[in-house]
Amino acid sequence: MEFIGDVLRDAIDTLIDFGPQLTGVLGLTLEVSLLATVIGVVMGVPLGVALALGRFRGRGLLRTLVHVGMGIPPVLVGLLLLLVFWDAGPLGGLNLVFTPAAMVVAQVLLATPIAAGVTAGAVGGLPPAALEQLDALRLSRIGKGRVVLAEARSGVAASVVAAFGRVIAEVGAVLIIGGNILGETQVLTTLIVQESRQAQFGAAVAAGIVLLLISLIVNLALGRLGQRAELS
Amino acid sequence: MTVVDVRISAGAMSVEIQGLDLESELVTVFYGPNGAGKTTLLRWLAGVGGRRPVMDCAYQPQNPYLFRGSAGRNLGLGLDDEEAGRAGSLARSLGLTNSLAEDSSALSGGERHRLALARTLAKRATWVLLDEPLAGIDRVDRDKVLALLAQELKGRSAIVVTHDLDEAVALGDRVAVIDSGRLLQQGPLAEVLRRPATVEVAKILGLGNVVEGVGHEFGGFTTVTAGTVEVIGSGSVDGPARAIIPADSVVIGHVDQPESSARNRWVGRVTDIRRSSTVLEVTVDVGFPLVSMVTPGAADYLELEVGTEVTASVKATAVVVVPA
Repeated sequence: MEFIGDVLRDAIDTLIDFGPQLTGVLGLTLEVSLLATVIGVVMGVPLGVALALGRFRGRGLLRTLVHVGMGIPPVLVGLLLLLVFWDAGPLGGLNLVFTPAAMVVAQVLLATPIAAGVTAGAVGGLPPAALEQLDALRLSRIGKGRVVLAEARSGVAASVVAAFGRVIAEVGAVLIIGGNILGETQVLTTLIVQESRQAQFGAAVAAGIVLLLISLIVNLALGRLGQRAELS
Repeated sequence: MTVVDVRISAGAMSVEIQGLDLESELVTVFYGPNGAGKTTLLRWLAGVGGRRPVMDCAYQPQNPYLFRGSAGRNLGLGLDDEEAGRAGSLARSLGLTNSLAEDSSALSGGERHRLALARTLAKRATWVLLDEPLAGIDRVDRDKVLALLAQELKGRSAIVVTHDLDEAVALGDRVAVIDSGRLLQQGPLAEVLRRPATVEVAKILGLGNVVEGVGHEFGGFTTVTAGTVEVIGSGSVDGPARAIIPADSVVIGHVDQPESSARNRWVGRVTDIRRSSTVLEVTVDVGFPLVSMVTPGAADYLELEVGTEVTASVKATAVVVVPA
């Protein structure tokens, strides 16, 4: 027990101190994850609504792709992007390997299917009478989307929370495509990996606590936002 | 006029109808028992479920659903400014003035129906398609809403689904009688009521008993002779005739009961007793199977059971005789 106590004390010291390294890592983590979540939600939520309500060719295939994407291992996404962005790869000319931009791309690929899948479930799960009424009203596509998103707002808010949860907690993709370069592409999860490997448990736990706090704050904020969204 | 041929398979329900006449600027009532396929047909015409609608229409489903937000917002959904203005005044006529500011979830079932009705009627569309528009509206408001609906639909192209004869008579110019996914008869409402094509149609329309025979007219009344049985009813028909005897006009009595003013009085045995909602349908064999509506209390009092000998009587003025 003494060991755990020492680790916790260390962690708390690190948090109280909150040096420039941790500040920088926290900043980059928030920047990458929030940006990826926003892009993922902006693409994924409309995609989810379309999957739930739309009748178009290829809907079944798209649905399957989304379901696969929801469960794809982040490490695999990181590897695929590394190959694509590698110097000799198809998009090598963009020089994106080991950059925060590449990390955002990776996380967008992880966030979008989650946002789409959870939204599709929430919209598809509306009462049949609601969907029939929606059909009967013959609204424009935008009008329909607005009514549906307000109606399924708690499910849509859950999709945002789930998308953010996936990217903030994810380590495999950002580790591979970002390279965990100190001060450049290091984020909280990759910091934990590095500190653990070097037996710097106090610093690792401190990063873990910060991660948990971020999740808590984002969840509370989105929960409140979901409640406030009204049909307008 | 639009003539529609339709073949729909939707789950357990299949509808197959050829030559359904939908006349412009008239109200056609789809009439039939629950589960007849009326709603399936209407939804198909309205293009619900991603199909292309058969006509340019404003369609209101049977269970109006209000989305989150105020009732007023729901009233304006899918309407342009002009339509929304009309919806507002219709809503006022329907007594919804105070509810419009409320949250939609606070509205009663009847208020939801009235709101949906106002919105659908306000929409600028060639056809108005309404599925059981008065279903959720309570008795107190029903007559008022029915009158307003009749007035609003007058001269418009409309289809109203109902299984209520009062509604059909109040709203309909034409009727299409539908059962088990088939079109049994269609035409001007008065004509179909006067001349049900088959006994099935007469029964669906709630007319009860139809006796076919030869009519002999006498002073505004007609005696219809069918085999050994005579039925006297109002109407003037010489020749092939049908007598329609409403089941709720037939009085069942003890065989030793004295004669009454009823011109039709037959003796026969009870062949069948079945319960339909609150009353019993008692069938008496009087030379033809005559169905009568009897309250459970009266049946107890008369000790009715299958085989009991009874008299069945009905006033001639309650019987309608039509040419066959």
